[in-house]
Amino acid sequence: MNLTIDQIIAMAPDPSAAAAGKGLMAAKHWLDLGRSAEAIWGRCQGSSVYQVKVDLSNLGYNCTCPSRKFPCKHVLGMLLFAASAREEGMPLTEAPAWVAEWLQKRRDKTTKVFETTKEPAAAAASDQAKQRRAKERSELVSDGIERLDLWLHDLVRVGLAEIAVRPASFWDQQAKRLVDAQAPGLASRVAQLASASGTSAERAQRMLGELGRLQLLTHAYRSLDAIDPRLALEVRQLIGWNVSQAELEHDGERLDDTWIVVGQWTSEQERLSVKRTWVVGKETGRVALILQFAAGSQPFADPLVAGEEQPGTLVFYPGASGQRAKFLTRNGPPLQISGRPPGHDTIDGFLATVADALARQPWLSGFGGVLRDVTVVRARNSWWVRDQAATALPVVGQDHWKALAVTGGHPCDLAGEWDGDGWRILGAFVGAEHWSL
Amino acid sequence: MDELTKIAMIGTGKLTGPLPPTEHPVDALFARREDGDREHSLLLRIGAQAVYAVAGRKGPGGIELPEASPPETKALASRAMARLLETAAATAESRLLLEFFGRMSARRVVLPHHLLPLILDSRDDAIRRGVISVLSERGVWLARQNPAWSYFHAPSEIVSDGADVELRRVWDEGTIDDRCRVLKTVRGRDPHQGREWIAEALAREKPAHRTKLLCALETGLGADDEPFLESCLNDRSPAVGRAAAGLLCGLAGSALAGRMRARAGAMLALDKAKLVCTPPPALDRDWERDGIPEQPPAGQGQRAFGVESVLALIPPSHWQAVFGLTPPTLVGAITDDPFAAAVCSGWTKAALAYARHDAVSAEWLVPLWRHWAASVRSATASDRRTIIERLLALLALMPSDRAEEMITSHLEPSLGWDEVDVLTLVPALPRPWSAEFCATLLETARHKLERTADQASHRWASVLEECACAVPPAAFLRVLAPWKLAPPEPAQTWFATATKTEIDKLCTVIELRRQFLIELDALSSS
Repeated sequence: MNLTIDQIIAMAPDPSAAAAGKGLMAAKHWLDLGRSAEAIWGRCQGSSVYQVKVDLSNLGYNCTCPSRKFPCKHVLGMLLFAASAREEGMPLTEAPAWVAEWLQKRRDKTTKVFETTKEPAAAAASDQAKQRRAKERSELVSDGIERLDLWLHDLVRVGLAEIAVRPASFWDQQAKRLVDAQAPGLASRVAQLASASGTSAERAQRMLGELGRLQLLTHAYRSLDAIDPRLALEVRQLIGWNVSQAELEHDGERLDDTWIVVGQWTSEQERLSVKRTWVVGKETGRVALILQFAAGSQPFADPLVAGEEQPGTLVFYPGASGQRAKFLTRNGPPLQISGRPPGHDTIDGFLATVADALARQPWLSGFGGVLRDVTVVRARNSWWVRDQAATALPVVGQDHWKALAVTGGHPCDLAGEWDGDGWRILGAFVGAEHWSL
Repeated sequence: MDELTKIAMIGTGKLTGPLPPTEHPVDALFARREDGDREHSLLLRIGAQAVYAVAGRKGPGGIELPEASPPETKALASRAMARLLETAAATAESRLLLEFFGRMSARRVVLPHHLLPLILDSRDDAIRRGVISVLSERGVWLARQNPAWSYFHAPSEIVSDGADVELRRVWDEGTIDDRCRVLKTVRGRDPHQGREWIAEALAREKPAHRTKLLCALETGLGADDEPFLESCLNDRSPAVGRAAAGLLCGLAGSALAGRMRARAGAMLALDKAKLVCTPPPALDRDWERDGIPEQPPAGQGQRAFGVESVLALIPPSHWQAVFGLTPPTLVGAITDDPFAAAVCSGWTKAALAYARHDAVSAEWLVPLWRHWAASVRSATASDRRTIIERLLALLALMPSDRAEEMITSHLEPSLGWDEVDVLTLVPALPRPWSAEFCATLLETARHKLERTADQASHRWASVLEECACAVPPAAFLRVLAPWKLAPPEPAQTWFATATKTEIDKLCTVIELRRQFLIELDALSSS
């Protein structure tokens, strides 16, 4: 297992789970610890004896405890124990039946997903029924967009100065109408307007920009036949049409590489946790965004750990931006990062790629990547990343002391995400080490 | 605010005529479009402008590059040590982290960079003081940039050989603790200058600060300080007067020391191997000016209070010289006197005050401890608390071997001591314990825990857990050896569970300390 202590701690759902996990690092808490090429396992004495196992191929895990935290303290404790380089405490042996069965179930499930996806519409009723449902949804969406446009036009007719002080429910109500119209993508955009509203000129400008982009989106949807087919595919996804596994595999661009997980962060959206993981191809330099969703405190399905490399094939969602992707196959277990990640030598160079990406898909809101040889600077009461050409980007947030501590004001490679206003620092490559920030 | 934004803010309903041209590149995008719906057109243009704005965003220039942190001169703690430090920082026990700091400092090892914000953010004063010794060049550089951490570099500069200008700046602008540190530094170099600084500033300070600053004069205390300290006896705050009196009594040749010795000499007399205490019927008004309040505290008579207060201001070594007897003999000689408690209380306070700097006065610690220990059994509950407090204070000043000897001698139940009392004293022992003492204590504890699982057993486990940082490395494996715990009795299951938890916590801390030493050795040998 190549995980470091910091990476395991970063997997914890909250600091108390991390602390509890550390409390289970001592060997005395464990029975029947073992490892194989595929997994590590052990039994932990809690209120009763819990069976804990981790699939090393993709860091999937399972524990028989009743905790609603994922990963629970037992999984974290066992991973921490395994990472503290005490291999004699984890003998290489054959997996016991309870581990082998669990691994087999996981393999079966994966195969089933692919088998299902390889048989288009196998589970669906007749093509006719499917087409009828698609037509009905299309009509619903069109009606919803019609009403959204009227609402947008009313807003600017009355004037945004009147709207800025409306409560969050004002936006939520419209978002719910769009959910009813089966346009969840639009609903989510409208719901987020609540947090953008406010009376300051800057907030008003930002909200207005978002309303404008929303209008551009509905306008593009009405003109789907007239725009670039790849952009049209992406417009449909932005409105709320999901891409099925079969479509993804059939239409998505596949790319083999060793993918460096350069940084990730999680946000909460309408009771949903959204994890944004940025990966960079070691050979191709291609940047991809892997989105994962989890309801409440449920775990993310595919644990990806910042600071690791994963050889494998990514499949990119069909569309003009080529930004979002997911792993189709993984070639072996993740590895510790080695060497510098590909990235941009200047901030201007990075911003040029942002402009290119927006030209292809104007609704993109986040642009990840690695800025090479940049310095974290605290100046003018704010935080900045500054390149060798003295160009700087403002940094999101106010507490970046850890970033300053690990970089020491020296140039390094920084992973992050640009949202058009600020650079969110996600990781630093200092010497041979990666730090999640 | 551009023209389109203004229109959107006011509302197109108030606009007459078509949308005005903006001379923005987006105009070209919509030039061919039928402009039937103003709102639609306005939003499209605003949306396109927003995309343009993000796409055309340029990073600002002119951000100055501050000086980067200098190269490290000491070894950085390893990743494994960092993990242990992080775990120690997460525990409520600051002693653990302070021990790690001490061991790192002795081997010239400093904190790893990524832990600096976590440690520098600590709210614990002891950790804030302790971290200075393990602060890397990066740490000093980082602390300078965060105003919340400014006090980390100031004291280190002061303690070393800071410039006079910097000392004066901290003296004028620093916190009271920083100013006390500065005063001690200045007194260490030039007592006269330190006295001039405090004399000039004292009148402006509030009483609590006057008292603290005056106590700092202990550094470099000499006969030249007497006139200034005598003037402080007239301070309107009794606390300041008492602090000045305490310092004056430390000056053997001072007038106040002479007055106190004369008062005490008139009270104590030797009569056929017995000491007799005869306090004056009432306290003189002059006594108050010399730092002895007129009114005794509740529960104590004025005469007994006078005896205790006067004796507390005289180094106990004085009585050895006056009567030519050893401290055990003198303590034994007063035992039967009606004012014995007041005399012993005064001697105890004096021993606690002077033992640090006066080896002869330090000889009183053990006999006084024995005196109080012998009186525990017959004491009332409230007196018992006071006696335990005195025992704790005396124990903390004794050399380790003597202090451990005091406890070991009372571990034997036949002496009639309440176990709770002995265990209350154990945490006050100087640290680390000797391997021999630790072995004795562990053997007693294991014996106890193996036999019973009750409240007393739990108390043993809880004290051991509290003292996990006092266990010397030589006894680590002795602690980590498996513990046999008595099965819970029907009504005592809570104590049994809690005892197991305490022992687990003890073993966790000891294992953490053991691992840290292993990693430190590995780093030092690499």
